[in-house]
Parts: sequence; structure tokens; C-alpha cells
Amino acid sequence: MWAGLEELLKKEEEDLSAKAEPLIGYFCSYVPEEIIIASGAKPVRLCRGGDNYYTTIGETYLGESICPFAKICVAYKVKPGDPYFKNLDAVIFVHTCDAMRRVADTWKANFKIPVFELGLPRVFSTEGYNYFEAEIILLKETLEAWTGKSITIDKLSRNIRLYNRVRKIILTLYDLRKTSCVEIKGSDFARVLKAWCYLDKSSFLSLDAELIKDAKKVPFNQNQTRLLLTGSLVAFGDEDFLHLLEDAGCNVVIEDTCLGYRFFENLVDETKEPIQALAERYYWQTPCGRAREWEKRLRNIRRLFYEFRAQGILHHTLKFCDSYGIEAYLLQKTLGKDIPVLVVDRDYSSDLDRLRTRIEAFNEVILWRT
Amino acid sequence: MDHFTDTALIDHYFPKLRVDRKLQGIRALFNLTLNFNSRLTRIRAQGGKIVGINGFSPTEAFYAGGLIPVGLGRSGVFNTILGGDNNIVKLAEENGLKRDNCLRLKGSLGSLIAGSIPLPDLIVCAGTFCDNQTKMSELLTQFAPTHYMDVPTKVTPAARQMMQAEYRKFLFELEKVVGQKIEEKDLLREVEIENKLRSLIQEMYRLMATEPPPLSGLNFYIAQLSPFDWLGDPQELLKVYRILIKEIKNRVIKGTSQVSTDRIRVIIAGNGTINFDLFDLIEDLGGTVVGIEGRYALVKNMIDVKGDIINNVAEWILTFPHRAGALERFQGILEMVKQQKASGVIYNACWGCRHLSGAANIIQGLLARENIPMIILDLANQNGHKAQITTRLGAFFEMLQKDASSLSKNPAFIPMY
Repeated sequence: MWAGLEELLKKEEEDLSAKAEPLIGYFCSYVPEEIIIASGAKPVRLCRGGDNYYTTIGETYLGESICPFAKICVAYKVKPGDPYFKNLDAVIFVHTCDAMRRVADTWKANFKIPVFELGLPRVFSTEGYNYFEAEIILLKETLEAWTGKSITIDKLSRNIRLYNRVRKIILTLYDLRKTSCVEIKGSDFARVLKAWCYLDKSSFLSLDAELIKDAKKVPFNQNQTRLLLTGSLVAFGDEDFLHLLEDAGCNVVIEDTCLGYRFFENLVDETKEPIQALAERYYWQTPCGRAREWEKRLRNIRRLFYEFRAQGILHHTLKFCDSYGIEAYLLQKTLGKDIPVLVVDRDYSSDLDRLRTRIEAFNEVILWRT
Repeated sequence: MDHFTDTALIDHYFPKLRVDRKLQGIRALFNLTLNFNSRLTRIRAQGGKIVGINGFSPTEAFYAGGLIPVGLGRSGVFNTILGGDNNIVKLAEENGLKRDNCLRLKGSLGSLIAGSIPLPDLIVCAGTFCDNQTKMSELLTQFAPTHYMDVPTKVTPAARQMMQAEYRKFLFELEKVVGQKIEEKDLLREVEIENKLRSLIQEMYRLMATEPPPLSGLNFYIAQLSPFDWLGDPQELLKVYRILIKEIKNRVIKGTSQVSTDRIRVIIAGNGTINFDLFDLIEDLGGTVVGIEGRYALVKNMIDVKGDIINNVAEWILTFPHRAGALERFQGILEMVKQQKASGVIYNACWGCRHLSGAANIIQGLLARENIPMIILDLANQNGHKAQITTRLGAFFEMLQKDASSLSKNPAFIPMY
């Protein structure tokens, strides 16, 4: 499915080093790409995972007891292996979890590359919004100074419209995943997510019709158990985990992760002043696990579970992740009373076959209940 | 019980620990710490209201409202040390915390569940600088009403506005427990008392910068362990600290320190919750602790008493190094090394603390550029690790006895975890 995406991604990688505009990487769903593009730079969301070798490299910088995703965020800058990490001209970090804040510190201390940082509250209130909006304005001014180009209202508005159009395409695909008409595997959908992270959004637009058409080709497989995936994201390079689920008879139909539904869900209001509209859209998205917003997150998980007609919840925690690790308990205590919940705690060295038994057993439990 | 003279509790709980029994101030602080729970229970029975603190918090507002602030972390740690009860860790793990969460938090949660401190009327998670504390605050709501005070990670005009708003919200929650408004004049009064305590502890640090230091590391640690969350009425604590500082000054003037002159001076950075045994171990290996960076953070800066007191307290919270990134934290450690004339740094990374352990290598590398050796210890607050760290600390002190500046030019001296 979506062979066109693969070709575009391959071409993007090949042309990367020849690109004229600066490449700015970021890791977190609170960074407004629209501002980066308006500054004349190319944004790329860095989301590598799955490789234990790189995890061990990152460990020499961050220590053992930090999540493997964070370690890889350092490791790919130390040892070439990803063209996007290699060709970065600057990077933006958001003050999210402790691990990513230490990754930011490691980049600042060790790599000769500008690091821009966005503060983010842990509780999402009006006062916190004012702080975040000020941070967005500061980011805009910083990028203007760094690129030497003015970020005008026109440029911002144009990019907001472009991004909204691309979000609508992805949301259409999500709508298809809700249905019993077509079968979109989680591992296939991961390609769409990868394309969002790396491709120019205008390339995405050109694929609009093809993406929807391809998605409708595969008939629905009623033998696959529908899962909601929550917790730590499944990064690029870690797709074997999704394949394992599919081999075990399950399919992820909705991701409540940092590279999942909440990243696309709401559009930017095109009628408002652009900076305010961006700040509002990014700030008020469903928060991730590092926030102190469990009640809000619980409501969202419950809503998605029913909207996407899931049959079970897979809570995926990367080892040493405090936020999702503690949320696993809260999830089991609340939704776990009525809905099958499986908590999987893993790192990139885990033998996936050991997980297979647990997932197959979980699938049996769900099938027995239905 | 006369806290200044009695040694029965110290002899009972710590017969082998090298408590400086000659100092009235130290005897008093140990006694106040050791019988803290029983006094608290008595006050509670008399109708006193308790606020449990998870994290760092300016305590002036509690006293201004007539509340008793109790650090859950300290209570948890002491429960473990005094009772040797590891069941509280198990209780915490059964109620939401994971095996790889920090032990300090497990002590806090486990103690609460076990009922080893009276259940607070309100739990405040303030100055919450880490994920562990933030998510644990969501678990705490199961036990008592809980308020979370968010602290921005940056210091900008907008961050200041947010901090001021957060502090006002925090006061509002306290007022619900108190049942009346906390007046700014009362807040100012308590700030002035706490500033005096800070000033006395700052004086203690200046005295500890002398050679030899007037106090051994253990006693220095006890003397700054919890001057702010409740050991007793702050006015009473001021008396204790004034006596202690006078005693310490006398030692410096008369040259009667209990610490010998040939000791290697070190500071402990990172987590400020430290197993008592570590200090005796450092002494046995030829060292002495002259600074504790995590504790000094609470006393380093005064709260400004001029102008809007609420905004001033909010501003003070923003000065905590725990809020900041590794690079800012390094600056604070470097300042302390120079101020206290230390030769090296022992970094208490604390197993389960991503905040600290993730910063360890960065800080170690930056200190190496300043020719300051640092050892990273992943300490749990239990005695079991003593054998493991003895060899490493012994090697570290041997290294410190050699010329530190030649070591940083040694290519083998690479900052590695």
C-alpha cells in the first residue's frame, strides 16, 4: 500500500544534502512546523527508534536509566546512520519530559549546532497558555534572526492553510480506519506518519487522491482484533513491533501517541491572527503523558476507543519512561475494569518473540469476550 | 524531653553513627528530627492541620495560615532509615509507582499508604521539577485532596507571570484548608523568619569553607536537612540555629574542630537526600563533605521583602536550580566548589531520577574542563549499596590525593558514566 510514498521518501533522502534551505529538526508535537517553513527553513520531525546498537551509544551520554528513544535522539547525531540527523542545521527542543530535556542539554553541551528551546507547562491553563504563546513568539523572532528572513503574516497564513489541507487528508485516512469497509494496517499507516515527518507538505497534497484510493483497495479483515495503541510512540525503525501485533492477529486502528491522532486532530483556525491561532491549536491539543492531565487523557482514550471501535487497549511503555509507566497503573485501574488492557514495557533490546505470547494471549482474551 | 541535652533517641537509633554530641544545636536538631512523627501526631490530635509537601515548596504560606508543612519525602526516608521498613517501597510499587521510579518518591507514597505519618488535610505538589513527582501527584489524589503548582522551566517575563498566577492559585487552595484568607502581612512575617533561617544556614556554609571545617559532613547535613518543612515552630528553630551557629563559630575561632586538617574536601551535588552512612564512609576514606548543593538551593537566595510579597515568593521559586537544565545546574555546582574550597564532587544521581542521572555526564564533562573531578554515584536510600560504593569512592579519594590538574590532561580521564 502507498508505494508512491516510499518513492517520494527515497527521493527526499537522496536530495537532502543538495537542498538550499536550512534543515531544522524537532522531536515534539508542540512545535509548529508552519513557523519553521515560513522562516524559509525545512522542518523535519526526528523520530528514530528500534535500534539497540544506537541505544548503547546514547547510553554513554545519558546513562543507563533513561528511555531508549531519548538515547537514540543523541546517538544518531554521534554516529551517522540517518541522513536527516546528519544534515541538520539547527534543532528545536520542547521542555517536555525529563529525558528529552536531558537530550537537549546533551546536544547543547556536545554538538556544534544551534539549539532552540520551547518552554511548555505541565498543566494546561489560561496562564500556561499565555506563557506558551509568548514562547511561540520568541521562537518566531529567534528563527527570523537566525535565518535572516522575516516571518510575515502572509507566509504564516499560507502555510497554515497548506498544513490544514494535509491534516484533512490524514484525518480522512483516520476516518477510514474507523470503518469496517477497508483494512489499513498500523504498520502501513506508519508510512503515512513517516511521510508527514520528512516530506514537503506540498508533495503530500499531490498524493491526496492516490492515498485515499490505495487505502480503499484492501478489503476489511474481520479476523484482526482492533487495538487502540497508547503510551510511548512507535518510532521509525521500530515497525517490527507493529508487525508482531499483526502476526498475532491484532491491528492498531488508532494511535493515541505523540505521533498519532492528537498530532493531527484539530485544524488551525484560519480566521484568527496566525500566531494566536497556532499557539491555540498546538497548546490545546490533547496533552501527552508527561503533563499532569490524566483525567483529560483518560476521557480522550475512552472517546477514541469507542469512536474507532477498538476491542482492546495496548499500553506501550518504553523502559524508564516515568510518565507512561505510572499512567499504565492509572489506565488499568480505570478503563481496565471494563475494557481489556495490556501493558507492554519494553526497550529496543527486547526479544519480540517473548512479547508474542503475551499478545496472542491478550488477543484470545478479547476474542473470548466478544 | 530537653532537645538540647537529651541523647537517648540518638543513642537508640544511631548508636554507631558519628553524631557530634558535643554540640547542643546538633543534639537538638537530631532530636527534633527523630521525634518529629510523635510530635506531629500530637498536634494533629489537638486539631492542627497538616499539609503534605511533595517536592520543594516555599513554606512561608503554610505557617502564615497556621498550617504544618510536612515533607512527604523526608518523612518517607526517615521511616525507612528508622524502621528499616522496606515494606513502604513495596506498598508504593503496588499502588502505582514502578520498580525503576526513584526511591525517595516510593518512600513518600509508601509512608502515606502505610499511615506512618498522619494523613494530611491537603497535599501540595509544589516546585515539581520532574516527571516522577508530576505523575505521582496524580496518584496522591487517591489519598487526600492534592494541589499541583506548576513551575515554568524558563525564566522569561511570561514565565514570571505564569509563576505568579500559579503561586496565587496555590495560596487560594491553602485558604480553603485554613478556612480564611492568608493575609500578606502574615506571609511577610513568615518570609522574614525564614529569611533569617536562610541567613543562618548561609553563615554555616561560610564557616564550613574554613580549614578545617568545624563540622563533619554528617552533622553538617543534619543541620540543613529540613529547616523549612516542619521540625518545629520556625521561631523555635531560629533559637536552635542561633545556638548552633554560635557553637560552630567558637570552634573556628578556637581551632577546636572535630575534623582533622588533612582531609580531602568534597561537595555532594545532585539529589539532596543522602543516606547517613555515606558521610561516615567518606570520612573513613579520608574525605569530608563541605557542601551539599541540593540543600543549599533552599537557602542560597533570600526572598525579597520589599514590594509585592506574593510576586517575590514566586520569583524565588524560579531561582531553584532544580528547575533548570544541566548547564545551569553545572554553574551552581562550580560556584559551590569554589566557594567551599572543595577538591572534587560526589554526584548523587539517585536511581530512578532521569532528571539527575541524565545530567550527570554533562556536568562531569563540564567540571573536567575546569579540572574538577567528579564521581557519579547511583545511590539508593538504603544501606545495601555500601559495599558497592566503597571501592569506587576509595579510588576516587586516592585520585583526589594526586594533582587534580594533571588528571584532566590524561586522555584516559574521559567523562564516562
